[in-house]
Amino acid sequence: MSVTTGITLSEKGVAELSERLGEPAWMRERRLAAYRAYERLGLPRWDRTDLAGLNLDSLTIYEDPPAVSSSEELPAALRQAVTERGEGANLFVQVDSGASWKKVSDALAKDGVIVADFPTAVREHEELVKKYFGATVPFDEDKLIALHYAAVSSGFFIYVPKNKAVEIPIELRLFARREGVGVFPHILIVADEGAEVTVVEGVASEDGAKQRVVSEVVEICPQPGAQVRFGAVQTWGDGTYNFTTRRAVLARDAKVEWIPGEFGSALSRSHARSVLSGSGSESYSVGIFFGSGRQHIDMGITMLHVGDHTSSDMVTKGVADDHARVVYRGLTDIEHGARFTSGFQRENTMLLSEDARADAIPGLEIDETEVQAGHAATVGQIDKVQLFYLMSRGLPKSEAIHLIVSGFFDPILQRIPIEGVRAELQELIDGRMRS
Amino acid sequence: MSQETYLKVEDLHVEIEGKEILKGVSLEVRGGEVHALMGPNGSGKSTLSYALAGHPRYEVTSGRVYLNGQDLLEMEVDERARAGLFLAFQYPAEISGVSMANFLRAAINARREKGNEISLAEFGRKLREQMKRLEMSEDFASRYLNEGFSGGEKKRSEILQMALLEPKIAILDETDSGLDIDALRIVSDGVNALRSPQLGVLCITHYQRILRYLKPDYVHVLLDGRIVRSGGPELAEELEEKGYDWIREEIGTA
Repeated sequence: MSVTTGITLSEKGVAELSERLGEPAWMRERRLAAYRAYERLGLPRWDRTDLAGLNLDSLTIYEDPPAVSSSEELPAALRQAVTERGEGANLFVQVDSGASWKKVSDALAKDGVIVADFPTAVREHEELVKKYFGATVPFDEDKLIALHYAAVSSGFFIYVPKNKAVEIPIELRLFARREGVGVFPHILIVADEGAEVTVVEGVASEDGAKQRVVSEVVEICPQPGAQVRFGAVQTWGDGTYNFTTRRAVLARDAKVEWIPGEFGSALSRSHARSVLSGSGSESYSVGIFFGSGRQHIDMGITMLHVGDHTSSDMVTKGVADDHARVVYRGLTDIEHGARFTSGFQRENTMLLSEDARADAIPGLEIDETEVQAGHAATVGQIDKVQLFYLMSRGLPKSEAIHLIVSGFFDPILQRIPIEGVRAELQELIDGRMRS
Repeated sequence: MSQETYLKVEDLHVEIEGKEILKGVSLEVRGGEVHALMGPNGSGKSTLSYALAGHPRYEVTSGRVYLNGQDLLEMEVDERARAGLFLAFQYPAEISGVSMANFLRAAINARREKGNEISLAEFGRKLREQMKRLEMSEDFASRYLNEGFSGGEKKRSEILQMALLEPKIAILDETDSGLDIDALRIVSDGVNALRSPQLGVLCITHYQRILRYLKPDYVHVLLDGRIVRSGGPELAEELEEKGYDWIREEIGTA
């Protein structure tokens, strides 16, 4: 086959990417508009999260993906998931932004559920994609989102027809191996009226010596009465600068659950927002983060209440160890007119070392009277009394700390409604504690 | 390896925040023996148990402690426990999120070599057996460690740990405080069931009540940081009758 030529970020590069992916004209135009916005805008300024280390010069945004003919050729990290999944699983794998491998249950196809890698969806499900793509997260919201819309080349489009309940979670695995090449996945989930679906996304990479830039956008579009659960297990490599924006605009009686687990990257800024537009809509978030080494993890969730009789609840727990810095931003925003809102949030961070730092910024903005709302956030350390107690039973210090941290996370892990995700997060926590 | 247990405390001086609480305590406890250590509040009873366990806030300024010939004071908190020391706390810590069962299994395995961990089946069997003895319902195993336990339940949880960890020296720090008669009986029965030539018990108490169930072989009186009198079980009864002031007078005149 041909030599893999990388595409560098530029107006010309973006146009070439569109051509290589065989896109319709409207998509090409959107990319170019996004690129212009990227050029025009300055880097976002976030308090407590400094982008000085981010390098966008001569950014390689695309390389032709590798051909993967069998599961043997998949990265070791993915091979286990692939071999473990039995019949009836729904597993879709992308390595280096290529649609590498999949396993689809019979039920999925029979029910008319669409799961397509994003570039294919743009070509083959044009009408649907065109309608919803970019409608929830505007392309020019900030420079890094604009970068995403200019360079998007992977991810998935999922459509669930009216009243269909997809029993088995749809599992999406994205893995990047090529050093220095950016990853720009778009996850677009359209759940039609009364549909129910659970999507679990796992992202990981081997970064080597080079920095990797990831700019991801997740758009969830639940129609009236639809229910979507979105779990994300983020374990990008040590060289990754990850920027992920997740958003849902909920119609009447819709429900969205976010289950984010942030473990990887050199610097990760992820933010999920649910806009509770429709009357009676509900959104929940159960999240975990774990920063070690010199990681910087910035995790945010916003519940914006607009319609009446809406509910939200956010529960987040995280740990910062070594020299890591973690920032939690939770906002319950109740607009005028959002009567009979119930909006709560709780967050706890535990520091495991002298040099770790944590900021917990819970926010409550209320512009309506008939509401119930509350928020609480804590930052604490290992309780010395508990540590002494466990050690007095013979547990070495490191094991006692491991047990206390497991105990710290246990109540929140119990609340995760997806068995597979719960087990995976437990394993990631244990792995961090052992090292 | 049934070496007879032997704890030797030699002229122990302990300070907390620069203030000397124990002013030269000496004590010997052998396997098969139950020693009661009695004293009024402030005499230093809990200081002794915390110092033996290795609590960082208690500073040993002089003296020695040997457990089966090993220098206990040279060991870390967890090493002392693995060497066979067990402290049943007066106020056991609560640890949310950690189930009793997981904790107990981890504590048992801490004493075993890697690869020789207790099997789930054996652990389950032992746990159920001991919980039954202590009249603890089985759902305690899945409850978070001591969380929301009543006083009596916490004390029984301490004795449950003792039963499963099979220590050589057990220090019961005011285990009787806050217990009603029934709980006291259950806890005492629990300790009595563990009596063996390998186990030495040091029962620290303010009141004589528990000693009716847990009959001591020796009774020592701790007053102002020193053991001022030692005797047999009848000493406890004398104290009950005459109070600690009687001992003070006796010491004063001697």
